[in-house]
Amino acid sequence: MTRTGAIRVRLVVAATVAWGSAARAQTGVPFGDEPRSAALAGSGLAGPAGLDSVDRNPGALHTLERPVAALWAHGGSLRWWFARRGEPRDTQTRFVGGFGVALVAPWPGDGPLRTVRLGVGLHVPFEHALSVDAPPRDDVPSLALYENRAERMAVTVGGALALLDGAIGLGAAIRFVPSLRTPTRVRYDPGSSERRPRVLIDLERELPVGLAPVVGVAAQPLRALHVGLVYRGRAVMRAEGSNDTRAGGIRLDDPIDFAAFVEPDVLAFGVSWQPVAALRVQADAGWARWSRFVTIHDRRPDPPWRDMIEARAGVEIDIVRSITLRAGLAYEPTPVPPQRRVSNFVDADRLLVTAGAGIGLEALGLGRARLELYGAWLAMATARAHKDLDALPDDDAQTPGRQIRNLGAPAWSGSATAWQAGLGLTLPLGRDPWPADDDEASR
Amino acid sequence: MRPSASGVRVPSAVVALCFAGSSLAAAQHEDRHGLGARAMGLAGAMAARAGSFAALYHGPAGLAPVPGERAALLEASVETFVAHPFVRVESLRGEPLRTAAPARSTFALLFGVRADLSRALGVRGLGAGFSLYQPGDALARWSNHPDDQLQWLHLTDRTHRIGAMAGLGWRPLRWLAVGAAARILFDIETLTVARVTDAEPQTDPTTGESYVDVTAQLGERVRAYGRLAPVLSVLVEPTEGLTLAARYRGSSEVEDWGWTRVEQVPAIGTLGFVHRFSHHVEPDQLTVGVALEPAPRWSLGAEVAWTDWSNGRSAEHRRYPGHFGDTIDPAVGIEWEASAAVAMRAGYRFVRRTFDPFGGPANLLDSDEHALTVGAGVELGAPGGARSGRWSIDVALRVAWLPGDTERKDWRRFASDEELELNPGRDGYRWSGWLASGALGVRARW
Amino acid sequence: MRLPAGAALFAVACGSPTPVPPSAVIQITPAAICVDDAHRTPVTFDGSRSVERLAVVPVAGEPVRFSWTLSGASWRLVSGSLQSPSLVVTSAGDRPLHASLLVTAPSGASARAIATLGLTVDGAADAGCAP
Repeated sequence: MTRTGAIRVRLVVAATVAWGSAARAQTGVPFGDEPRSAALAGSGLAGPAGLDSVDRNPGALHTLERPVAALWAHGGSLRWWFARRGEPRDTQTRFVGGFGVALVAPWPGDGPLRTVRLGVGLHVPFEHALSVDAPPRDDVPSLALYENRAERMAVTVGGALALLDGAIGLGAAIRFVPSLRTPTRVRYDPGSSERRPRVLIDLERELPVGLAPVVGVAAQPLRALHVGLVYRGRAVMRAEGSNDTRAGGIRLDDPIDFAAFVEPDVLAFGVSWQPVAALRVQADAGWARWSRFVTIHDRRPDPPWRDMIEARAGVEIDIVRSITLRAGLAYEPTPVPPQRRVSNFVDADRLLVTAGAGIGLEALGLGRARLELYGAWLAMATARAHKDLDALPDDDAQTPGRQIRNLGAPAWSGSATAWQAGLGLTLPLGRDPWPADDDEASR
Repeated sequence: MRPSASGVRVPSAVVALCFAGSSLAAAQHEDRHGLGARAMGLAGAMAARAGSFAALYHGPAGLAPVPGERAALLEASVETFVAHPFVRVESLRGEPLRTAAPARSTFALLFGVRADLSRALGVRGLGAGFSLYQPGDALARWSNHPDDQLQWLHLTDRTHRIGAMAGLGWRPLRWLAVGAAARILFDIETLTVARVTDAEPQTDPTTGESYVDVTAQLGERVRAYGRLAPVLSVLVEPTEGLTLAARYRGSSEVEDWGWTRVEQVPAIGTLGFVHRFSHHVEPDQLTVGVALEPAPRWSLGAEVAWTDWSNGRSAEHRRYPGHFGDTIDPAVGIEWEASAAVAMRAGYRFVRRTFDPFGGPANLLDSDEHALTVGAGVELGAPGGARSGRWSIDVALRVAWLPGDTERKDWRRFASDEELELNPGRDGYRWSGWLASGALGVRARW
Repeated sequence: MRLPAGAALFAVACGSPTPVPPSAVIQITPAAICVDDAHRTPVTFDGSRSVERLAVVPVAGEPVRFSWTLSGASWRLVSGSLQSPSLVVTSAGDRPLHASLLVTAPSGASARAIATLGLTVDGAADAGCAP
């Protein structure tokens, strides 16, 4: 094809690339939590401090007395199906796993900053540090909350300040939210031959970092009672750039501007009650501002999503000195309205059931670490949608009349289940207790 | 510099989580500058030096607790790194030439942690490390260009990306330590689909060319894959004050591959192209090193690294036989304990260029490098009292001279006269420069 | 050594450059049928412009294998097969008919194209449908 016959292709932005963030998956999904927290269905923002506090409620870090690190791994299966009315189910199953590392510590030293606590958390998915599918069509059925968000790398850094002799903790953290800029320039090498055709590609990649805030407060009004309040800012990852292609007579020279909604604004309140030393009961309730959701094509869904209040609770029992049992339950109502128009988001109310245990290895003579185990099961109600054919847009402007091609027409149902198991090591670090001689050698 | 009063020669082993990424490194950022300010001050001659989170990269056996070191030690470091190139590329007539990607400044943060896990896990002599390297402006940034565009082979942004390091060191015997670490980098796969949804014939008002204005809808699948590069090392201390080291670093590479497909193009159908770039390559490397104390309060570290650059390749995934060659790079670093709280450092490293000009189609700029470094470490003691943690500060400066070279094209290496005529470097050029870099780190201990 | 991202911390493997895929092309003629067509209109699903290698300038290479999958509206095969380059079907027209074409090159590399036979639901007269 010659230049005079060039075709100009204008790319209408229609896809989004999501880059991960948040040290755990949103809405309590059992993908990525630290094992103790996962065993409690993600409850526990009131404290006392856990290794996930830097992300869940950094204010709770103020109860921390010594450095603690954790390593954990988790794996599980996410299975979902979609079926148009009268047609067989299309079922997809995928493995979701990952690894996590967290470190929390008091400010070193006895100076004026001794009431400061610090923490950092990192979560890396097992298979992909990032996985995003942005189909060119708006109507491709997708699992609304878990499609691209289950696999993303996450880093959170935060700290807390203990006030009133440790009765109250104020904390803040930032979650790193990467985005992508990818200008691409493509030319057909004029010096190449038919025998040795060559495409010249200048490709740039940049992952700028955005920040999503977490601000929290935790208090201990009574000896047996902890309360907490946390705000987590929404996280949206962007994909921007341009695609300037002139090759073989084609020209693509339009900008790319995508967005991926990772997490909504969340305001959550939690309470933790310890009636006896061996028993702790905790519950959280959170308002999630899903109404600001944008699709992977950077458009507000039609109809828009709804704000939701989700609830989660957990109980923790020390049955013997070195063994703790845990269980949790969470209810997550769907923010997705009935899918009568173009989009086909599969989502419905969800129930999360979890159980786990913590085992002190010292009793086995294996050091001071604790082994944490958990299992989690997530069930979703069946989502159903009946398309309003009058509300579907014309899918083919070139053909007379109004054509519909929607992949969900005329009606569909769908659902999902997930299970996950994980284990981790909690490692107390630093000197305990500190000796009179700070420089005492151990060997 | 002594981390404690018990006579430990160097801070002990570590954990480090590192997001690697820099714009100014031949191979990896750490390889030229060292992982952290202390390593930079010693010109990276750290293979036989234990006791800092830098051991993750320089020899993970050094992550194992050092004899005499405080038990259950936890160290965390936050460091900054800056570097700026002063490079020049010019035609043989002395006119400045632009490269496809500029050699840019780098600012980065490095977070490192190391811990003695002996008590936590009940395994005597076990240490771990974790480090995170984060460029200041972005998690990653790189650009890939055809090999015949004028470009620095290593000096621009080929290594500006996230990465991570984690490792373990174990000292089963007082005189023997072994260690393993993993350097984690990420490949990216992008599969792009553009579906043409509308087409309308148009005429360019400027050129009069006719074309079809096509509207398309874009979809994309992106995957980031982790890629592991192992680092293995062993430390042997046959006598007090003498440490011998051997280290193997597995090759690491970061690739960017995928395809772009434009569907439903009128009268054509589907068009597209496949891309595959290798924008960071560091081949296998073997290193031997030694650390000794030639005099009281003086310590000397030296190493020689052989790197399998004959397996190197360009960004376009091409090998140019005979022009990528193995390299042998020496480094030496010396440390003087001026007092119990202050250490002074200096070092030198030579880095052999990996690619020689050959007069062919490629226009890849590379140079030998002579680097001089100086540094210092200050132990701040325990500001809150004897029972609190300790603080220390490390600082380093590095200046490297790039003598450069001259390229003159040889028509015999081109497939055709047209190919030579279209080559951006057809008239020849020369290049040279300097690199300046510095690092500042603060370390806390519990 | 290429690994799953998380595995890089602990070890396992994965991810490699894709081989040059074929080019999968679907052309549907006509592009849409009238709602409730009741198998009156033969529709051609043509994948014959698919080629062995995705390229800026498509050129015929080695023969490729075709595998069609149809879903959505009920359909009847008029000619061709689900393994032929093109096939002709009729549709009940009660809903869109979705076609997926998997093209496999001799090298084993494959590519999939998806297209939908639309339903004309409004402006039936303009589209030649019975009102």
